[in-house]
Amino acid sequence: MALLELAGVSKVYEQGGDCVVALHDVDLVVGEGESVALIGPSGSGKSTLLHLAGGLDRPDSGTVRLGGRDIATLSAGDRARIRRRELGFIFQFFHLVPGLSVAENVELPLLLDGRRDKDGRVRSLLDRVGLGHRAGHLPGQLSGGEMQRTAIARALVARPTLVLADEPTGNLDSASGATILDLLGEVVADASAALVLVTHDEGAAARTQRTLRVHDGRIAAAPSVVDVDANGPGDGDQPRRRVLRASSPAR
Amino acid sequence: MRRFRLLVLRRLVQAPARTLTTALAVAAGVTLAVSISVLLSSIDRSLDQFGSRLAGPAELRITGATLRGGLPAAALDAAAAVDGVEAVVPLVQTVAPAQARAGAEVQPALVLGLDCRAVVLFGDFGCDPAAIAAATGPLAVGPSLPAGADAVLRTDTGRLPLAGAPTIAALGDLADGKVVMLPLAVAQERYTRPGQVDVAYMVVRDGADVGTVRRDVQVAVGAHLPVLAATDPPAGAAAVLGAALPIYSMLGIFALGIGGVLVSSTASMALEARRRELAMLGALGGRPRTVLGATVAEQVAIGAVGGLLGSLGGVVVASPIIASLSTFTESSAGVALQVHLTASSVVTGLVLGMLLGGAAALLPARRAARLDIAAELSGRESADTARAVHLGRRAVVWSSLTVLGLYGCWVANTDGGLEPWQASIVLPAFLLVTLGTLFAGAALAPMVATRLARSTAGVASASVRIGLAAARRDHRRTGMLAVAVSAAVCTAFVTEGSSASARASIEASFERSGPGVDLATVPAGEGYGAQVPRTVIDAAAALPGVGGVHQGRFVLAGRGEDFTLARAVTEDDLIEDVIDGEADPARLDAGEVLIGAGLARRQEIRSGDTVRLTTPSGPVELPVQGVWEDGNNVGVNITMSTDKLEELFGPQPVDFVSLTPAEGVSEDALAEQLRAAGLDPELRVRRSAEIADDIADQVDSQFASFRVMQTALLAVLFIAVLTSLLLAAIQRRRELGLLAAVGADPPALARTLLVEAGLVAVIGVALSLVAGPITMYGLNKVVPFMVGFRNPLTLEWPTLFVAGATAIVVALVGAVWPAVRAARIEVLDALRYE
Repeated sequence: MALLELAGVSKVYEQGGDCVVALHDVDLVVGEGESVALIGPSGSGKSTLLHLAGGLDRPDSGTVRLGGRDIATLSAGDRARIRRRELGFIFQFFHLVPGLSVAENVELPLLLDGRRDKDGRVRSLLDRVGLGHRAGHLPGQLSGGEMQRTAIARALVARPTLVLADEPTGNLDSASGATILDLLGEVVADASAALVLVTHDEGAAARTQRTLRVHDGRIAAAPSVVDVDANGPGDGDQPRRRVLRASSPAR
Repeated sequence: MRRFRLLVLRRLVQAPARTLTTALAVAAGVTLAVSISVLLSSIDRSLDQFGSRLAGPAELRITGATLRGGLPAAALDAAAAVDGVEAVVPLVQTVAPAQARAGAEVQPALVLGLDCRAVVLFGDFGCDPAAIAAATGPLAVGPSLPAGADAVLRTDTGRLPLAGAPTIAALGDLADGKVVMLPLAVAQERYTRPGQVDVAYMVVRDGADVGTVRRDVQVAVGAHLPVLAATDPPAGAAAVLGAALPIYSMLGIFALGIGGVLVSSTASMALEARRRELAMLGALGGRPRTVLGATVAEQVAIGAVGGLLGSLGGVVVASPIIASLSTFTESSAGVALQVHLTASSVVTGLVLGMLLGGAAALLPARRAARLDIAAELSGRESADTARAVHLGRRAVVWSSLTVLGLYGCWVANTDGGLEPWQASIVLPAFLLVTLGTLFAGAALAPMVATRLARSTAGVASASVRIGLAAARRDHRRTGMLAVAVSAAVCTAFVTEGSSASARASIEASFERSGPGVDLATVPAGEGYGAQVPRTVIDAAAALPGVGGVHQGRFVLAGRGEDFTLARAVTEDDLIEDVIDGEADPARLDAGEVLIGAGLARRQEIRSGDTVRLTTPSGPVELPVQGVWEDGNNVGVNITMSTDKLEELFGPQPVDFVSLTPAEGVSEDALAEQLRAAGLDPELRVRRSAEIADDIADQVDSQFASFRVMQTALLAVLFIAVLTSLLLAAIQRRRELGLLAAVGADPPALARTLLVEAGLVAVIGVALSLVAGPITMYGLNKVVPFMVGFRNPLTLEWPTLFVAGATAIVVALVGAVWPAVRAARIEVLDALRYE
């Protein structure tokens, strides 16, 4: 079943008196538990696509459905509620609240929803991402990789159905970035959440089940991958991948 | 210049909201200090205008040894004989109540007793020497005085009808037109100045040097009769202002201190918001001093704008204070004070604003010049900000200084505070107390926020947790806001405590003095004295319920440093709180005197010494038997017997009349008897409790300026919260965007700022619970030196809670607009914000 559906979505920005077409008539479908990478050069529209998917912005045309609801038509308050209960965001620059501890930053979506962490989810997530011993530290005392791990834990604390990651390794060195990508893939899979990963890194994109190329505000067809069930067990060390059709032909 | 335009001016124009809010913070701090400048310039200008109008073409004047009379005829003759003196114009000059009719409202009238020599000052007003000599009533009245058939002027010998006196419109610009001209002889008789005048104006001959003539006249008349410039302020006004101005100046310094803290914090926050930009300047090759200069120049420019705004604010704050002082100067000298905004006040505001802005920017600018450029541009925590802020150490240092100040206040008052060094340390000690508590509070507030944050770790409210986190992290803003709250609350606490303290002291004094009533025919506390005719006093004394009559007289003698209150006392008067020597009535009758603590301190006089007193016939040395805590005239007073007073100064009018009940007669019964006797249609009889209440109310009215200050500080608090949270919202845009991205709805974003403001305000009020009593203790130790009276320490706790609640509400209201702006934040723009 489709978790996220963008249909005929366009977005135009005004910049310095000119109109910039960030997205042009884009379709995208992400299934439950699926991981998708959006890859493209700077200015291609991939981050815009992510923001629309997360309800941070509204399209100028088309629909954005999450769990069957058109979130583009919802009020700011309703979209905020969806973000804190059903979505998880991970940003390139981490975006942690400087005055809150690591544990408090992870707990933030729950706090915003007026909920207590009754089942110790914050602690278990921190342990999962390897920051259990840093729970009381402030963001200023962490390395970049540790901050991004905190952000990953935060994105998952409310048990979202969809995680949106915008260049999560863009501000990290290659070693840290690889570690983060591994961790991200594991925890998202553990949570059975879908993942949309925006990146310009082919290697990062290769870790997902499906890659879509975004160029000049459009999505190009991605090469299909063999469905692991249809093709039997994986071949040696190759990762198991599910084959999906391309979401839409190039236009 | 181009660099200044690019780096400073264009920046200010491109960020108008930030510029304006910072300028408002400067204005708030400067306003209170500029109000003092406006006050002083208004007083100067008003006195100058009064003096110029009265003096006309005269350049000099001789004043009497006392405020009432004190200038004998022989002195005038001596002055007239000096080479260079063209004319000497003697005047009786006093202020007396005038009424449209008996029982109507009294208004102060400037009474001038003159003869035809006054044409030199006022022009030819048709003066006829023979007519003046024969006249028994007014020669003319000003256009603002009642002129109906029943209009009267009060004198020492009774009511003088004003009906029939011509109204001269030309007198409209003198004392606001409230002038009565009397024949000189009539004025001398009616106002108890036998053979004396109050002042003589002198016209200097063309071509003569005014300075030389002034010196020669001084030699001729004697040092005890001051020769002044014609427009120097009258002694009565100078006395009133001399007592009030030190207090206002102290308030102004206090306000400047608060303003400096506010501006420094605001400048720091504004610069914090520009760290990335400053780092880029450095990355592009800007030298550290370029960054330093740009940041200081920016704050100086904003400070200039804020200073000009503060000048306008200073007028608003000064106006009610000037109105309050004017009631005293009108009744004592006939001078109405007007608000004058002079160029010097505007320049003062401008310079203060620029100095505050520049000084406040120095430390943050130095930090900016030493920015870790690489860390800033890559978004890393720089070594500078990662360094722990030693708030605890600061709190200890400032608290220690506060304790030192308290010790200074205490030691200044030991043994009655009679030593000159005690007077010199008390004010600096008090300033140390007030500044110490302010800065200690600024350091403690973030520490309290940290403690609160830890204790609320289980609270499931994002707004509370984020609000406390922000308060803990942004320690400068938290400290500044807490100080602004604490300053407003403590001022209210200290004002009401001082008022209550004065009232308690007055009531206690009247209780100790026993039952009695006083008589008057004018409202009390307006500076006219009792205005009870001799016949009424004699008739009252003859009533069966009267046990004793006490008639109080006082004389104000000398000028400037020598300005002394000489007071006559009888055996009925209560003399207590003797600090040195004794208060033996028999020794008083023998001619020895008591002196107040202020005089003893100023001239280092103790019992057994002598004290010099200026009299119309020259200075005299009087033996001192003791020093006591009499606060009249700020403790600069001499108490003697009535006989001694009249021996030195001649007969004096009665300033107050009090009657003690006969044996077995109650105070109420005596009062009833006096009212029923119908001795005077306007006779007012007050019992002890009523007198105490009236005096306490008069004292309380002098706190009007403090209450204005209190309101101004609440306005400062409002602006401080508004400006700092607007800046915080700019500074924390990315954080707010992140909160929205992870699911904070607009009301939740707004709540984070409201909660932060509310929490910091509560912390500020909590700190006031300690700062208030500490400041009150310090002020209680200063008051005897500034005012003369020593009052019990009174802590008005209800005021603190009411003022605290008000401050919290004001802080929350100030946070509304920033909260609304935060709620409307554009999430994506905020996330991209750098």
